[in-house]
Amino acid sequence: MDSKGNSEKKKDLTCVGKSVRRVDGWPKVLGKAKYTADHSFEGMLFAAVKRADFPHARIKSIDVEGAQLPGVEAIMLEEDIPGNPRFGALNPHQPVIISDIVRYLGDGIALVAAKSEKIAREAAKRIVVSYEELPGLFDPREARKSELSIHPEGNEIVHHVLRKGEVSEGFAAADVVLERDYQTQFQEHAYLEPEAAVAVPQPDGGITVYGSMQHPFSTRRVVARVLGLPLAKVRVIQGELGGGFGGKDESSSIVCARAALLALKTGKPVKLVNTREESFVESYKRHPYYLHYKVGAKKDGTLTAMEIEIVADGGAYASMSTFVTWRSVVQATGPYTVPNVKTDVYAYHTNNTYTGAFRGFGSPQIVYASESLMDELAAELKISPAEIRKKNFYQQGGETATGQTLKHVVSLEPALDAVLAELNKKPLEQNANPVFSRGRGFACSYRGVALGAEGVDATGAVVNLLEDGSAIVSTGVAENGQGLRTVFSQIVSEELGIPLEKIVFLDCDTSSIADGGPSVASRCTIMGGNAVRHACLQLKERLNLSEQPDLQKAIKATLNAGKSLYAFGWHNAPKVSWDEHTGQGDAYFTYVYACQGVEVEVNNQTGETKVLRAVAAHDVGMALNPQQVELQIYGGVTMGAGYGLTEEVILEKGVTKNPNFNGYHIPDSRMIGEIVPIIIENPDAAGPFGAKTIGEPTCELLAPAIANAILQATGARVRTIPATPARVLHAMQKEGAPA
Amino acid sequence: MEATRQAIEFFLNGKPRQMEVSPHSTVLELLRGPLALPGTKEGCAEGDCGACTVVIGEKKKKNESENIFSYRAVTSCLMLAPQLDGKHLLTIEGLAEGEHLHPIQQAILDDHATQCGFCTPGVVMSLLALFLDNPQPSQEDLLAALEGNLCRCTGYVAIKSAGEHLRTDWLLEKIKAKDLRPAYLEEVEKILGAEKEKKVLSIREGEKSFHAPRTAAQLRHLLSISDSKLLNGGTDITVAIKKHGAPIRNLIDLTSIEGMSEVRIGCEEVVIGGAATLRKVAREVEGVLPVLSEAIGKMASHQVRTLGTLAGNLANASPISDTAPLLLALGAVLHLEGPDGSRKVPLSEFYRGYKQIDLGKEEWISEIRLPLSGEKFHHFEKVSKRRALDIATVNGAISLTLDDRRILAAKVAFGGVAAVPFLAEKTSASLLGREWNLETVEFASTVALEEMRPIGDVRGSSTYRKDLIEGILIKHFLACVEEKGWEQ
Repeated sequence: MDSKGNSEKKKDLTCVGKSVRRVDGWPKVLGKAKYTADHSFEGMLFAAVKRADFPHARIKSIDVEGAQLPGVEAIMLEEDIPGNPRFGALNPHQPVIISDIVRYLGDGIALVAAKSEKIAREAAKRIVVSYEELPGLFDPREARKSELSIHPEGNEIVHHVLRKGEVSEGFAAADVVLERDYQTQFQEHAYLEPEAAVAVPQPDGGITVYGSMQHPFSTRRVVARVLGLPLAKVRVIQGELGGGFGGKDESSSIVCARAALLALKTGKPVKLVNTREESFVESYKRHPYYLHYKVGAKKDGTLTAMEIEIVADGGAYASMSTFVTWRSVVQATGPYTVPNVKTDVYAYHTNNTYTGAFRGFGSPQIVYASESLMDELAAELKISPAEIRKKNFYQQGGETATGQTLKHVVSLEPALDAVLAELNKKPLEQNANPVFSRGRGFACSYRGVALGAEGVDATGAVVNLLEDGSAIVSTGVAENGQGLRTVFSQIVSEELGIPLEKIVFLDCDTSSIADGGPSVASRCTIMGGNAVRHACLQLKERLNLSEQPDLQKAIKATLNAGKSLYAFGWHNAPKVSWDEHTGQGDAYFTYVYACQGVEVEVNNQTGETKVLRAVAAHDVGMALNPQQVELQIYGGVTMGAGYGLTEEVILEKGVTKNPNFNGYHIPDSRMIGEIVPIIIENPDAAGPFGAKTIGEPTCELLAPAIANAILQATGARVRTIPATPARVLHAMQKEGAPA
Repeated sequence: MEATRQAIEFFLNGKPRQMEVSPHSTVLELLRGPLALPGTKEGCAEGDCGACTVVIGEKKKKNESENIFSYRAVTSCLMLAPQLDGKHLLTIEGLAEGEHLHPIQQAILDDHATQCGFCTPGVVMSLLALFLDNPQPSQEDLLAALEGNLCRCTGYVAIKSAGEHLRTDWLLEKIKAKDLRPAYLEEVEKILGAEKEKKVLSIREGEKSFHAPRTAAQLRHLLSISDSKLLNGGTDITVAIKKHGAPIRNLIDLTSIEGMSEVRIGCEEVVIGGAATLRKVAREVEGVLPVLSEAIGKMASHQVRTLGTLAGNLANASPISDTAPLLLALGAVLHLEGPDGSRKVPLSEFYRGYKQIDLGKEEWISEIRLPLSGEKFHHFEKVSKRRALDIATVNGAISLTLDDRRILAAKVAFGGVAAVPFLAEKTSASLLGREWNLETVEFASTVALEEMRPIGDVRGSSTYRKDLIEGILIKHFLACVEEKGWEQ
């Protein structure tokens, strides 16, 4: 990346940095955007899945006799799978359907394709499976000790360590040592569109799959593996995506692979759409964490040591647990300089729903714990929550827990000051009604951008400039609803000087662009944006725009010279490093910083908590589209409020007790009174036009801010989220707070 | 029985349609299936997310000279397709004219109020219903109209500001009615307004059927010849059929029966028709029993309240119904009709056990009567995890006759504390003759905790429910203090 390119001043830009409207909004408001379940093909069949009846059991027999209803065209078991029935990014042990041992209630046992969805579902219901029930494990702390092993390879999925300095010395030097336990819940992504796939067999023996997925390339890998086809014969096209938030990776690959299996078997197009209940039971969740923190500090607040042990519930399959918990081990101390750190993060299998990627990816849990802890420590030391943080914040040129020197602008203090200034514009006014108590709280975080040392981080983009000055753009990362098409179009418009109306953005199609890695880790803008920019810069060079600034003339001259105006840009992330034995290294190539604050009102009689106002300050490097950045903040803050207050998948012995929105409460439009977004810009050399990241940091801060505010309002500390009315009331009774 | 019709007749985005539909299919299934209009989305199929919201237009008054049309947002997953008969169904596909966006669609675009877009059609339709139905919507009306549409991307900020821009432009007449009302509405209203009585709709398919009688006599006859389930709003029955495979064959829809949907306010009582929707009840009683309007406002969402009925909610007999405790406290009396004429049952005697009610197989609730006697203090409280779209953990209502602070008469009722909505008679009696103060509240709480032994479930533990019984009694008291302006 040329470093010159990053020093543009915003005012010189024509399109980047402006709040242009979404380029893909038109079909959405018309109801014409085509989501996967909206696809329909001649002669299409409908699929249904027979799932496990026990969370842990050995299958003795599967009787499909009763399912052979009129209209049923295929019933498939594991033995009918032509390729490898198991998949998984790190540990390929997850079944598409299974015939020996079921490990959670979402496991599929048989697939049915029929002329109608009704017949398919009825047939699936009539498949009779007999089992030998096995004892289950439903708590990762039990799984840690248990003799019982859910997988042959054992219950431990991963154990990450981080060792810096010597904690015993740090605690010896401390004036105060505090130990606290915190606990977090299963959270469901609750994308409004349940998983769906439509698979269409092709004349060459290959298959085309339309799917509701975030990562078409991961899906292609799974489908090809399961069907036993070369990758080139599997074409995966992303349908318009009705939300993902990290949740449409394995969950979607499974649905696509199942539809593809049935399509190949019947030779007909097959549609498979999960109901909301199936989505809840089958799809992976955010990991529940059990966190133990021990912190030492001097009287003045200077941190001397932190010892952290975290146990995560990985559920039935490994999925992304290793990566999710890796982000936790890197960031577990919070954005504070601690000379001595010892962190252990474990993930174990249980017979609960498996857990995986979810917006935040291992950060919301540790931010909740560490930011609650900072307030608890401040109270112990009788200094203010702001003071203790400022005393210990990472600084530019300083060193993180992993030993990385931060070379870029570290904006923790400006973010905190901005939030406090906004929050405290008016003094805290109590409700005249004594039933209600109000309080304020805040939380701060730092976050590694993109994949970091998880793995190879690179992506590509094609810009196809046409003779009339219009352009077709496609990228290896996918639109997930976040606005990627809009922002990338802005970059093309900026670089080539063509209006947005002349840019057409193609749906992500695995057969037309190089595998650009997953659309995760808030990496799309920074990685994909750079790739788009590389493609544009190649075109600019070919067009020789510096000598011939008239684009139309330049296009003509270039084409006449026999040169192509089709450019492929590829971007590799800057180098990172990691030593897995010590947990030391340059974990991510850059970081973002943020602070969110909140004012809450707690009902002393019932424990109900309302968010009156939330303020969120985020350093995004540079806002390529400020309006879209604000939207990410609104959405993330709201999701964070759900995480902190209402959202919890209740699993009892592996059974999901609240598998729809009547029992699982995502925030509604009344949940938060007001959200004030504050954008902080410190352009980063690693990003396109200095841009970094916004998607994920927005949802990792509100839960601890709320917990800290509840404490201020009631004197009670909630150490388990969500802070439901019952938990808040219980905490108040325990603390002997005014009731 | 007289001749019947098998096919439904309705208007779809301005165009007349006549078609046969499956008796237990939903409007959503009809739209996404046979009608091939996939713009309406399925997110939960139980009325909780609003992605499938459509607008239903229908004639309000039978008066030939003066037709008023009402438009309401409904969750199409909870409305049965046969119920479209005689109505106008508006969907997202019916708004834009060619390349010209409807003002609501334009506002959503301009305010960046769509991200992944899956909730967008439902949001647009909720807003459309608001503006078609309400010439002067307040800010609160706007928020109420949007609360049934869940969105996971936007945090609602941009959606609410798009709505607010529309609302102010509408009030300032920057948006004209002709831009907001699809052009075909006038023509459809004319045709539906002139429509004469049609034969009774009776749809059969295999073992399943759907009947929409027009008169009590037809209803009585239908009940006498078949083992039927009454469909009175259907927001629970539809879920029971669709999600839980409830073995229901014959459905009789009460909402087409003449006069059954009316609400009459008298000097001494309010008479609520057995098929009056929750929305209708909330609107009509606002002046005389605002506490009931408020309680209904806390139930489900706007687009469910336009389908569900008050009598349906009572007969569903959920122990955590939001209306039953209040109606118990208000002293509601049910009028039941049946093969042997009519009878009256106080609501307090209607509930006999978990989901057991005093209603014969051939009986129906024709009216709910609420006394309007004297100056009373009424209050309703609901404790749930989320304000809207949520089932309460515990709810409670109180009705007091006070002489200054002395309690002359009291009725206290709770939901979520027993197998049925519970009129707490001992607790009520413990209040009599006492001064209404914190000491009395404390005393009543001890009686209440003796009287009620709530169980624990997914919405709350037994201990928490006990805490809430106490908390709700205190909230009743403090609400009274606030209302009366007493010094504490």
